[in-house]
Order: sequence, then C-alpha cells, then structure tokens
Amino acid sequence: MISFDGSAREVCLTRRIRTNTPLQALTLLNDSTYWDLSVKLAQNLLQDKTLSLEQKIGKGYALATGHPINEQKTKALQQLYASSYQKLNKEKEKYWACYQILFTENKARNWQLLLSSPMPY
Amino acid sequence: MGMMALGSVLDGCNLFSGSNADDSLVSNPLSPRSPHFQGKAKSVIFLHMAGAPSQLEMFDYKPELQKMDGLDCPDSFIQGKKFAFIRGVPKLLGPQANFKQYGQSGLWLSDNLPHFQQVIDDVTILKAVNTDQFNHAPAQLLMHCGTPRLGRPSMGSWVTYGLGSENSNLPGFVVLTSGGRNPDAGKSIWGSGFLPSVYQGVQCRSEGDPVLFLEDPNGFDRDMRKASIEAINNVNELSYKEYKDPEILARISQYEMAFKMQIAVPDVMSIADEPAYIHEMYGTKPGEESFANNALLARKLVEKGVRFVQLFDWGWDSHGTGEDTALDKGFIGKCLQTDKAVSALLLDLKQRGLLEETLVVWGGEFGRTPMQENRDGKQNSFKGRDHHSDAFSMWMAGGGIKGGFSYGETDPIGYNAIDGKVSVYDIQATILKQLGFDHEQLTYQFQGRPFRLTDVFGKPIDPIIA
Repeated sequence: MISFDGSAREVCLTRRIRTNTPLQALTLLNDSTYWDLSVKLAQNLLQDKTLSLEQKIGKGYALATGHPINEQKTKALQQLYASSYQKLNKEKEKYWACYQILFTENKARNWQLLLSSPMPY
Repeated sequence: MGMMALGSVLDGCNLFSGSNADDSLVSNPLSPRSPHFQGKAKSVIFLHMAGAPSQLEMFDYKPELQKMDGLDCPDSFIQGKKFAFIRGVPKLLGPQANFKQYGQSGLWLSDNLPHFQQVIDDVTILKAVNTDQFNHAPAQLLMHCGTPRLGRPSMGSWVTYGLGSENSNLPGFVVLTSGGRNPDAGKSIWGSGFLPSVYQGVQCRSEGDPVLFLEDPNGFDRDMRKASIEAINNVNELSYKEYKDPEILARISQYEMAFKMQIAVPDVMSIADEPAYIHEMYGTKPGEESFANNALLARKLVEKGVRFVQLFDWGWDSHGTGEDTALDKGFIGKCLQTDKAVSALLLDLKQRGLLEETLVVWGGEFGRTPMQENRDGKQNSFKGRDHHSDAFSMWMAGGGIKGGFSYGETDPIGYNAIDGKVSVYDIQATILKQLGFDHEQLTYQFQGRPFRLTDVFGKPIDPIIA
C-alpha cells in the first residue's frame, strides 16, 4: 500500500498523490500475490474452450484494465504469447514450473506422461 | 539533438509536450544533460534532520545565553511574536552542552558531536539561516519544494529534471528514511509536483531489503522477463498514441528502470558486502533500520552515479515534553546515533576522491528557541526548546564549498540573525549553482508561467563558495 501511496490514516487526505516509480513496477511484476492472480487468470482463460486465442487475450485485457482491447494491442500480446509458448514447448524441463502451473489441473499427475503428450495451444 | 534538449531545458519547455512528444518516446527522460555552466558538484547528498535539531546544543555557541540561564526572556524578543507552543513569558535556557574549538579552522563545536571534530575543516557552517515557517510540514515543504504549500516539485526532482542521471540502471533520485517515521510533510517533499512523475524520489526501504520484489518468480528467466516488459511497454505506447497522457511515458520508463534495477540494485544496495572497517567507521547495523546504514548506502549510490540522495532522520523535535525530546536525554541519543555516521560519510567520500564532486548538505527545517519551552504557560518537565524560525544552523561540505569556514552570526543569545543572514531560498540557489545552474533559469512552464525551485526569491551564497 505504501508503494502505491496509500494513506497512513493519521491525517485526512483530500486526494492521494499520484506517483509512478520503478518500485511499483517491481511490485506488479514480482509480488507473489500478483503472480498468483495472473496465473489464475491465465488458467481460467486457457480452459475456456469457446474462445479463440485473440478473444482470450481480449477478455484478459478487459478483466485486468477495465478497457476494451484494440487490434494492435492484441497483436502485441499475441506475439508475446507465441514466443513464450515456443520457449516453453522447446525446453519443457527448464520451464517445468511454468508448464505445470498453466497446463495441468492436477499437480500430482505423472509428469513423464505429460512431457510426451502435445501441449494444448 | 543534444542542443535541442539543452534548449528546451533553458526555455523551460515541457519535455513531453508539443510536437516533440513522439520523439520523447525514444529518448530517455533521465539521460544525462549538461547544466547552464560547468558546476563543481555532480551529485548531492542532503541529510535532513526532521523535527529541527537544536543549533544551540550543536553548532552555535552562546556563552552569553549561559549567563542568562533561568532569567525571564526579555520582552523585546517575544512581543508581537507567535510561537508554536510557547505561551506567556518563557525563561531563557542556557546551552545544555560544552563547546570547544576544533580543527585548524578553530570552529566551535559541542561535545555532543565528538566524531564531527575530525571533519570540521571540510565543512562550512551557516549560523544565520532564516525561514518564515514555524511548523514542521510547511517548513519542510519550504526547504525541499520552495513553498510551504503542497503541489510543487522537490529539489531532487528539479535536479534530475535539469541534469538527468549518470547511471541509467538506477533511479536518479533516491530517498532513505530513518528514525521510525516519515517526516511530517510526508512523501510530497520528495515528490515530483507538476514535473513529469519520472523525476520523483524513489523511497527505498530502511529495514531488510532496500528494494522488494527484485527476483522474478520461480521458473521465469530473464529473457521471458524482458519479453514480457517489452510487450507491456508496447501496449502502453499504443495507449499513449491514443490518450497522449505523459504519465504513460513515465510508466514505460519506470518499467524499463525496474528491469535494469533487478540486476543493478542487489549489487549497489547490499551493505553486507562492505569490508569490516567500513562498517566499523559508520557504525552500521545490517538488517535494522538505521541512519548509519542509510549514510553508507548514500555513499554507495553516489559512487554509482545516482544524482540526488536524500536522507530523512526523524526524532529531532526536542520540545522537552518527555525523555525522548529532552535536550539532556533523547537529544543526546539522536546525536550519538548520527554523529559517527555523518562524519564517516564525509571521511569516506574524501578518501575515495568523491567529496569534490559531491555536495553534502545537513540541516533541519528550522531551529530551536533560546528559551525553555513552556507549553500552555507551564514549564515543560524536561529541558527543551520550542520551534524557532528566525535563525538556525546548517552546514555544507564538498561540491566546491569552502572547508573550515563559518558564515553568518546570531545575537548573543542566539535569537536573531545579525550578520550573514540567508534564507531557505538562498540555500536552494546555492545548491543549484554548485550543480551548474542559474537558479532563475531552471524553469518549467505550468499554469501559465515559468516556475522554478526558488519561486521568485533566492540568491546564491557566494561567500561560502571556494
């Protein structure tokens, strides 16, 4: 809260001062809470079979920002997805932790079996 | 390109407005820039003792006041004046410390500062600094933002706006606090006001890790982190094209900075790696919040090219309402906590050849009265002084300032400035001058007029410049 200029509640504030620091960026990128939230969001999106990849990206963006996405932004995020997927697929052992969280519902499943089967897109 | 950037600084144009907006997407707002002329100092370390340390027990020796200890304060001093807490007629309080002369310069120093004796020949003491604010928050705002009101950029923001930063992997303006609390004026005294928020002070933690969340989550490597930040920034750039909000550009810079800090910070901000003799010299307490830790961090940051480092230490408000705020108890503790580290900082900078290019400034937001505080007309149970704006002491060292010099004098009881009176704006103008700026020309267009740190006041204190 302090990183995001939350009040200490000792005095009245008419308005929170708005700051923009690299510490806020680091919190949003690496704080385990945000990591857990983003993983859950990704799991939910990936498991929705009714939407295409572009639609999934659009839904995720809207849920996170409250704004609708546009075509160019979808493209930028799609590129990230494609390059990350390629990496994950090529070096499954190295990225096992990511793979496990995103693509398996049951963490106790036999990972040898998983590694041999194709990854869902 | 460099001349255009310099031109825009001199004219006070917004760096992010107008048709240059798209260019700024590629240029870095914190890239190093040249000042108006060659300055002696490249960096500033500002040590602010929040609460206002008592100059009469540290730097301003008043033997006359000692002789008048316990007498009623003469009417001429208090008539028509308003005090924070003093009511009616207070009694004069003699210095609660012994003073002696030290160093080749023979400057007077109290025995509360045993370590400072070693560095006295490197500092200029200003004894007649004057302010017009006698409450903490407005006075701190005046000292750091040039106005007792909220909303204006702080000194560090002006400096990084004008000069950028030498090290693009670290923030240009870092703030470290100690003493258990933030200063009364809060984060606004290191805020960016109306300047783009990329110039604000980045407050690092004083306990444990200075910066949290540097490590990527388990299983995430640097390439993926870089790719994800690039994607976030791409999306933000597209948003900027839509909305033209300059804060989006600041957000993009900060994400890039965050990525670079992940590598650079653990190196710079880990004091555990320092040799034992350095720890001994500063008196550091690794893992705990301490002024000494912050002082050592300040040296390390400045060594790596950070432009402006500000340390705030809370707890100097010696009213005498309790033991903590008593001049013969709590205050002595505060001196003990900080004296060694401050002196070590100056020695350390000197030994590394950094002192000539680093301007170190020390002071509070005002001073303390020569009278014993009598809150609500009753004498406080402990020895203490009320807030005093007419004259107080600060010192400066390095960055082209004279060493072993004293400027300004107060009357025999230390109430008014009688010679060499300088204002808070003069202090600010001097700091900017040593960095290479004409304080009247470092401006930013806002609300229809060019603003500057010193507003419409201030003159550099030339007699203290070497």
